Amino acid sequence: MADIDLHQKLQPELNIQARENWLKNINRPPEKTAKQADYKNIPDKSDYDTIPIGILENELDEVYLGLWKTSIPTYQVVANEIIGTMILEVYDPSAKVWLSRIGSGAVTIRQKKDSDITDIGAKIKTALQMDFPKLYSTCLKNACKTLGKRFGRDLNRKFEDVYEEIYTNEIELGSIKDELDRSFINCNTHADLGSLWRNYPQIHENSKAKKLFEDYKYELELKILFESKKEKMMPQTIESANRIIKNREKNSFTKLHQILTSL
Amino acid sequence: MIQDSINNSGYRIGNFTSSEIWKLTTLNKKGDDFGKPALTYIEETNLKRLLGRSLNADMNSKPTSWGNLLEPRVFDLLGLEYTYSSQVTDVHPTIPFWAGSKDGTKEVENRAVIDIKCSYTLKSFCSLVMPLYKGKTRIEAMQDIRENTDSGEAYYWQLVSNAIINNCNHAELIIYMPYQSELLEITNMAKGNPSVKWMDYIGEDEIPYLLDGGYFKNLNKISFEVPQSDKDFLTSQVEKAGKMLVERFNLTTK
Repeated sequence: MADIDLHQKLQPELNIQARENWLKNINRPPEKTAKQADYKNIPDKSDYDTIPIGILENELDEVYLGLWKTSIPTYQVVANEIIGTMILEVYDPSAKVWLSRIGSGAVTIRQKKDSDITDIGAKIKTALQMDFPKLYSTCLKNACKTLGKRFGRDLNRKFEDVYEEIYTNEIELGSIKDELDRSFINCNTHADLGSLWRNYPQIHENSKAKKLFEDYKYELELKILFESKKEKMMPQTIESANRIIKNREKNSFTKLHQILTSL
Repeated sequence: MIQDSINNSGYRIGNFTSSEIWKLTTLNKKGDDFGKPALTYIEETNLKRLLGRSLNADMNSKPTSWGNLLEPRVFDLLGLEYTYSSQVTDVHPTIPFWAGSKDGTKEVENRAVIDIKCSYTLKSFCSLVMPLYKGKTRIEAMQDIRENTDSGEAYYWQLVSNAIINNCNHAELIIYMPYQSELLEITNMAKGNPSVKWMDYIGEDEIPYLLDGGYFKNLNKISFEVPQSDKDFLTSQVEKAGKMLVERFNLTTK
């Protein structure tokens, strides 16, 4: 993972939080989708979601204020299909640059039912009148998907991820981390830790904060375990354990935990 | 004592560092000025100051990556009195161009800096631990290492340097070589670690290890009190070399 310091050094003019907010917005699920079967009679793909091309173009207009353009698609006929690629460019207002995305696609040249794909005579006479323009929309849809979920990314995909504002989370947590650490030192019970968590509702959705509190919990349980096993320990080990807990020597936590649980 | 400690190599670049500080202890034939290794080291440090980066990156060589892989394991084998901090670079409290990354400390009455050495060859391991098995201990064992091994001087002055930076009077050299029975665990530790990918392609006999129950123990320690005279000598050499350092080139980002 790239680190925030590097971003700030290389792009000092970039407002990272605003940028992440923008990316979060274009990674919300699409507002309008349609079942492919609703407007195309493709029975085997009836469960497939799609964003109709008109809606997609309108989304591009709305999100990028009309500042988008496409290249002329390249195309090639392979047997009974036309394959093509196209470049979509959008002006990204938060990064203030033109972004290029490549889309590719293929459409079938329709033939009479059950005919051989090499049989040119079986081609529907006016097939390309509909099929060739469809290549454009297929390529555009494909390019749009790379912009974010709002443009169809992850539709019909089995595995998908959620955009996480990792840098914003880091900045947000960084601003209160010392304060949290100071408060944590006074936590002696799970109830204390729970109360500390509830005092900071603004970080409840922050994944880094959740991880931090998991670490706090582990550390607290180590403290509690140490107190319960103290009587069975040698004075020198007690001294070392006290030092590890007081100085919060995280590298030694696992080792101390193993020793305490073995007693 | 106010002391800078940082978690990256920023302070190491263009500063004298404990791992190479031995070079500054070399003298010319007359014994009245720096020797060739010292002058070369000062020159290289100046180049780093101008470049703003290190001259070469040898972080993925087999011996280095082997040592980096085993260090945390060695720490796990040590008692609770040890701390581990090899990722932290400490800067001398009053000499800002003097830095070092100790592997950790031993928090006992005579607080000591520690350095962990995981030799990649059995020969190197044996030469480091042999003084202990000859009955030598403390500074006498360290003296033997300095006289009889290639890296002895470097290891000794590295400990002296880190002891000075961390205001310790004691130091401990920890020398480790795994037993054969530990290899499975070690190869598991190496899985997914790109810097030790080479371990996937070599046989067990190419990995250094000791036979279980053999003559040598896997974990060996040499603890000693750092002579004040050596502390004073090193400090004066670093101060003298510091006068030969150039200003850093001010890097700006576009």
